[in-house]
Amino acid sequence: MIQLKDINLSFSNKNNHKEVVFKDFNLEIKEHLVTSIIGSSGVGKTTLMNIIAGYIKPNSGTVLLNGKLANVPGKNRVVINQENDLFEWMTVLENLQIVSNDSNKIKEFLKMAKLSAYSGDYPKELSGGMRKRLSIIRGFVSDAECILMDEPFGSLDMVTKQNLLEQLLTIIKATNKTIILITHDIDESIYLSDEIVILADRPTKIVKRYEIPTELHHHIKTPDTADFLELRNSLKSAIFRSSD
Amino acid sequence: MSNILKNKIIKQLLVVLFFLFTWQIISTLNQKFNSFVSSPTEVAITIFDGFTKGSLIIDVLASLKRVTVGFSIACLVAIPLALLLTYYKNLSIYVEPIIELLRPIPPIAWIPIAILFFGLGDNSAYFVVFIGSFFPIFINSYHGASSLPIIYQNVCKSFEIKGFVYIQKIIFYYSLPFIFTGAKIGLGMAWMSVIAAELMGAQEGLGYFIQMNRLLLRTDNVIAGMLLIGVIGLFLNHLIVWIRKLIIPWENDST
Repeated sequence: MIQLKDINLSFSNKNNHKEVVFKDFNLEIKEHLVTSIIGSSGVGKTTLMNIIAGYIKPNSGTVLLNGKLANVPGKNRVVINQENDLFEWMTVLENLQIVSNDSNKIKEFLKMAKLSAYSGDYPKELSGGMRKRLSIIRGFVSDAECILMDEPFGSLDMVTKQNLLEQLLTIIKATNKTIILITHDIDESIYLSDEIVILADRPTKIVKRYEIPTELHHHIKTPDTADFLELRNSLKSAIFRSSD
Repeated sequence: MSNILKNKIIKQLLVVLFFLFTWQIISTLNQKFNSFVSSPTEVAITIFDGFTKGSLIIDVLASLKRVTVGFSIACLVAIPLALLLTYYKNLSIYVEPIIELLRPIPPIAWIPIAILFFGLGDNSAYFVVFIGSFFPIFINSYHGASSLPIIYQNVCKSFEIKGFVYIQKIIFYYSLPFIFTGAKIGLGMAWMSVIAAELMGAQEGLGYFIQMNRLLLRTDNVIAGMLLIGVIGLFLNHLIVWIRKLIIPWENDST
């Protein structure tokens, strides 16, 4: 379980004006589930992720991972970035070997991500979707208990994204890790998540939490059922209301 | 692709041939010019004779040896130092001013000191070559290593990649293209420095060869020496480009 307790964060802008980003912010994220954090741009999603990852230190407040203080970045929770974060000078295999010594596990994940045939290639030689898959399995192949994903599909086209979502779901189910997905895509979050947290900004607060009913889980291919549409509309209006 | 390359080489060869041809024509037509600048054919014969009958090969090898030793020591010192200073940022505060102070001093200015400390032999030449090539290699490596993008730094923090593995597998490999740029400039500087050092104090080497023949008024030999310096410099430059392509396969287009 990840707990954020009384997080306060503010910074001074150009005019020396103090801007409060988080004020007594609290959040609990359940173990072994996928939690999506949604909100419009500028709502503080990425800042929140950076705080959880330990890249940004809040002015006050604590981040706990399974009850233990997690204030510096570490192996227990790793980040899969929106931008390219693969080591360009390492082959596909080397990119995985630097985070894990378990060669069987690496093999297994390469297979799951359909990258076995490319293990000797450099990232530059792969397609955008393949690179993203590699970046994702690099997170999952490590021993991290928690994976933080910052808009991992932001730069991909629709078809690539659709295929990737299905593969990601397979990987998620196979590994049983705690996952936080930062996104602004409602369909994507309904498809992958067990729970959705909607944020509003300045200071960042939680507007609403949705638990995704199991019957709507992972059904992006038939997003036309009444229940799905209702949930989607409800999420949409909550996001709209929050950005007013 | 190879056709474009062939075309390029042919064009470049044509320019060289045109230059040599013009030089030959002027030398043949203008006796006054020819009296103090030898013609290309004369120079070619001189070089051929120098290699077959004379001791030119000894001079070339002597210069190459000095460049190789001095340049290698410079690489061995500059690259690890640059990587370490990037990793231990606190140290760089102390080292940076020293380097910035020494950097503007041209290698030639070090020659008297080098001779004083190391005598007239190879050692002083090694030192001057080292000084000449150290700074470009160090500055470029340091610049490369310290420009490691935040995203990689964050990934390394997340996966706890640190210590020697971080220096070797992340900083070093990331900096390799920069290191090679430095090495390319450094090798050019090394070659210039060795000639300068040999002009002032040496018993053999291409610089010594030019200096001796200047005193003997053998212009053909002087020009032969100059041409050899140019050709070997060009060859060394290509050698670095070739090694770079071999060592950095993830970088498709190198300059």
